[in-house]
Amino acid sequence: MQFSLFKYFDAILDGAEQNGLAALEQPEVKKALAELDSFLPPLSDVAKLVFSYYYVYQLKPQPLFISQLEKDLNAPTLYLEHEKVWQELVDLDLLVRVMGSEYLMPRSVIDAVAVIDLEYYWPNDRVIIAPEHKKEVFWRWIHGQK
Amino acid sequence: MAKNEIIYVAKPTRYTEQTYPGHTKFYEHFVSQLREYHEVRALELPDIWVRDFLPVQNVQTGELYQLFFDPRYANYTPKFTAAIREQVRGAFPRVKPCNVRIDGGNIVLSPGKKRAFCLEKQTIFHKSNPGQKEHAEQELKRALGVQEILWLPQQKGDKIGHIDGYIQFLGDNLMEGATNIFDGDIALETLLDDKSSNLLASFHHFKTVPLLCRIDENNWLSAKGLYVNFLETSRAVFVPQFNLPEDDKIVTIMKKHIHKPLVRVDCEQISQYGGAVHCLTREYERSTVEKYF
Repeated sequence: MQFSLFKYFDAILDGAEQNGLAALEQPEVKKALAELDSFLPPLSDVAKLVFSYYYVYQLKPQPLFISQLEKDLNAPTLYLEHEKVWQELVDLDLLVRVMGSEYLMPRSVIDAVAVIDLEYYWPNDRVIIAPEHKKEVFWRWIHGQK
Repeated sequence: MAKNEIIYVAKPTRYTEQTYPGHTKFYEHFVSQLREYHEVRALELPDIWVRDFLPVQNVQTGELYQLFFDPRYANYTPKFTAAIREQVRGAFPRVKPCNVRIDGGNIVLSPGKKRAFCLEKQTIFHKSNPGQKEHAEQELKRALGVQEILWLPQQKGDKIGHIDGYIQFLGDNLMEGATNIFDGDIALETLLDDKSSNLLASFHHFKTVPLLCRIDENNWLSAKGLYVNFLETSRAVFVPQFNLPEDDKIVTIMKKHIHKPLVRVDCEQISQYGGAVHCLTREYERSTVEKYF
């Protein structure tokens, strides 16, 4: 996936699927997590993992099952031990709490990632969004420019 | 209309056949029909709706521009979309970038190719940000070589937002998809809402022809009955057929408005996956496309 931001999400999720949270210490996963820092607000590594999961696997505006997330990420007690991570994402408007442990990623966040993804489709051709503006562009798209 | 086009389609693979059962059989017949009029090139790609993701051709210069393909409907997961982008970039390594997130099926050019019609989508620009809209228009004008971009409102309940499911031009006539017609050519209800139809009428001076479309409102993905998704080339018009009673009537209506061979393409099965002839093809002018390989 040379021409897509997806390669970083894939590296993070692939690592977790094989090694659970221990994957967050692997060099290739750390590199991918660092890449997300270019546009995401400051987040813990676990929060970036959870963000990646919702971005890739939430195909409809419906909450994902926490049990499925924990199974896929090979981390059976992830929500129990890291519930504050979900709150961290909610506080930053990156997830919305529907009820209980049901969360969804708003469409505006998915679209904001796409705007950043554009940069990765044209490597070395020209700078579309200057690195120092990526966070601002991402934030503005999440909030509908209002 | 470009002369002597080369038509690009997606080659059937085990993967496309799994995703779209019946694609291999459809392809064999369809390509033989296309080859009677044009050279056809088949690319091995993960997906078959090439209109949406292959580069667009600038009508002035013949240059190819790659729009940013990033849909989030039907079976387009981030992984699938990334795989499509990767393959397309490999097939067209020397295209120029066009930094607008829009599917090719959401662009219809007017006769004379001075204008492009598109449906508004929030993924292209935020309505509340004129700067984004202006940027999208400038980029699209640069890529397509048109003078004007005309936006129609996104239609209620439409999860895809491709204008080639609503209108197309046949010769100098605007063919507007309609769900009901009376006495041949009188539209009772067009696929576009009233506001959009009125807006469209104010944009152009072409003769509008309602083209009956027998759609299934309960299946938003299916394009079965969407006759407006035809393909007109310099040499022929390829008309989708769906094994519906309206098939013959559509051909009769179209014959009144164009003096080119009309080729009936059996899209009964393939259309259920989301498109018809126009969605399955991308045409390029032969004289300018070779240098991109």
